[in-house]
Amino acid sequence: MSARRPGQVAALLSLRWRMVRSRRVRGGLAVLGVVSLGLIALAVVATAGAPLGRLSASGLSAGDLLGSSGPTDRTGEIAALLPSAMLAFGLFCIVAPLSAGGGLELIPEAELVAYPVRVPTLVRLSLVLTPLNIAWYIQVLVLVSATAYAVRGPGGPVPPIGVLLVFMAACTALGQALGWALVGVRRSRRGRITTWVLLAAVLATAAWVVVTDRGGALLDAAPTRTVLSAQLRAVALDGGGTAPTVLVLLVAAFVGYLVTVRVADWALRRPADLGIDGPLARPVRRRAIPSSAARALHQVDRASVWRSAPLRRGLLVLLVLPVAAAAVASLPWSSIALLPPLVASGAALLFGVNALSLDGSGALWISTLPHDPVLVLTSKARVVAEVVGGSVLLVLVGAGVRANSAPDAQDVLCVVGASISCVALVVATCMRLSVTRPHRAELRGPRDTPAPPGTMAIYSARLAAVTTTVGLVFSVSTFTHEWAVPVLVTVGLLCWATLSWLRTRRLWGEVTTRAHVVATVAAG
Amino acid sequence: MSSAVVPSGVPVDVRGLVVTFGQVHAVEGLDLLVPAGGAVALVGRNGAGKSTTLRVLGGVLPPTSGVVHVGGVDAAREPRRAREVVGYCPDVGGLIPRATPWEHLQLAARLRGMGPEWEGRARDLLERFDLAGASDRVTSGFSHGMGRRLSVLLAAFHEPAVLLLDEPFDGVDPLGVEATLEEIRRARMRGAAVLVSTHLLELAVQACDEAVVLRAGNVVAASPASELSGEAGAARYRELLT
Repeated sequence: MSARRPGQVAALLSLRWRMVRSRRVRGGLAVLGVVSLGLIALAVVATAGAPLGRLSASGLSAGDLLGSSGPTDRTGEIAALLPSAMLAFGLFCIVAPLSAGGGLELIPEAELVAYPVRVPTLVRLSLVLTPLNIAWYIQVLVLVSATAYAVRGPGGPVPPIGVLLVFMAACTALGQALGWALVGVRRSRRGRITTWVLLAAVLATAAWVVVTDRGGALLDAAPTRTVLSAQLRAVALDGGGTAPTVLVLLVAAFVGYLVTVRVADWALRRPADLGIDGPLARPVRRRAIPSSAARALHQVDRASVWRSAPLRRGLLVLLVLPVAAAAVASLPWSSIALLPPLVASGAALLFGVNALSLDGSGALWISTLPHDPVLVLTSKARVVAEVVGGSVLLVLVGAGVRANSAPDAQDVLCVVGASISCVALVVATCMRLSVTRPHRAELRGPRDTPAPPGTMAIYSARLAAVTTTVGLVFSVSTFTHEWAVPVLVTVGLLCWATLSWLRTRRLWGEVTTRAHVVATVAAG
Repeated sequence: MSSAVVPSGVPVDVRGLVVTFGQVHAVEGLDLLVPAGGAVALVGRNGAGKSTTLRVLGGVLPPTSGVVHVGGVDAAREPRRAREVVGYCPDVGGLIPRATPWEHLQLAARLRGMGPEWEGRARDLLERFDLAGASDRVTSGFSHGMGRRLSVLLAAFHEPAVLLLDEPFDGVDPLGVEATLEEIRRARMRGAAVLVSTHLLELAVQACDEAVVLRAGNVVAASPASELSGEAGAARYRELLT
């Protein structure tokens, strides 16, 4: 009798883990896993026992807690926001796989082409990897904490959180089905045109909602109110009232998985008429020769970003989502100061954390051309700064136009300080990581990322920790009336970023470091 | 150490080259001379040290020890000057994936400080390597053979004193092979030293007048390339590999 062989999912996960050669990265991943789970447990314990607090001036909404005689304190107010937060999570679960070409990839498709990896394996791996998306994880953390705090009753926090987790599973599975459908549809020219038309329609609808101030009414009518209702019944130990919603969500999760497998199979079998990256077959406009070596390098680097389908799609999502959210929410300036960190770290994760991989195997050829090597590094830093800075600027304009009040001088200082500091810090961190932790990355297919998924999770956490702290400092500074606070913080952070950049430049100046980076990013 | 060695004046002058990666000795004490107008084939099994040697000569890798002069320039001490006289075609890829051949040529022209005549030379090479029709398409859409042809073209673009070609014939169609052989002939005629690393023995014999057989980072034989021609040459080559 032969021993049971491991399935493809286990085998590939094991292979991926063995491919992580660095002890630091392995340790970092283990710590990240423990900290992530620990944070959720801690949040549940802390928020479930937190004081109730008083109702704010804005009062309750969401049908005043679904027309029931719900709590009229601070917990009721938070509970009333849960349907909107769950709706946002649902939308994220649709958008994230849409921008990632179906879902996350454990091992690049090109490296598995010789192996009979089944489509259900790819789908399961993508689902397993979902928590590595820091935006997904943070939303889970916030929703679980908010539920533990706001949905109170004799059942304790576990039953309503259980309902929430089933809802999240359903959203995640259904979102991946849509993501794969888009991959399949976009394999033909007609499909690509259709998706652009659909995107334009969605944007136009969102703009109409914002302009006509229908956002609040729409959120009040969110279908996720049913989930909140089930949570309230669950916490009251009303099993009969909870069961139908939970059953529907469980069926949705299971059907979502089955549909994802079918759709992914269809998408992967569908022949692409112009290759995965449409513009590959089209000639591009020829430009005049740049006037200097630095400009020549910059022109090629900039083109490398804008001609990459996953980078273009990622940038689009990164800009549309925060701008739409900020426009709908009509934020105060203290909250707007938190947007630059969020957007800057998101933009950096598109390619900045491994910016030298933009050259691919061409890095080898470039290194044989006579030039000052610092030019190459500076050019990459410039492109990262353009993308990060441009994204921050656009989001600030979108949020500023719809802000709930006109900014005073302190608000302007804080928002500008947060933006400049975050862009500088993120660019410096990106270039440091690009030189010290290079990876080979194609950035060609819809699921390509600049580094393996585990490494990306570590990078996300690292960038989020730094930028969120910076954002919070500037957000709090909007409440002070000391102009010197944001100015001094900005100067301090700029000095920090400059020192980091100078250290990276020095490191790049060493021939052995450059040889290592080039050999890694150019490995074919 | 390198200052004690007087360059011989030949375009490629390698003495006692050692390259190690941690515990791995990729090249161990290699000596190599390629005269002006000469062409030498580097042949040997996978991992023999051929590509590593070319990478050192191309200025991509620093030597662990030894002396490497290209075009009379010490490649370890003056890598930037060495790159001015070298044209290098890497063994794999060597192309920026989302740039076009024309953008590669523009970048090379600007970084090498070439005059306005670069454009005519670029058009001529694109025609000869049958890439004129694809000169404005991004290279990630290229077939392997097209990529190889473009890599050879880029190496030869500035008419270097030292032309280094690593697997230039790999996956290339007969017309592409002919264009590459023609480029090697032209380079030799203008006095350049050519070093070709390949597994295709018959093409090595056609392109070069001398063959150096490497095994485990050492030279095990150096002879006229014609001696490796035909069945007898192939049999001798197999003996040298084992």
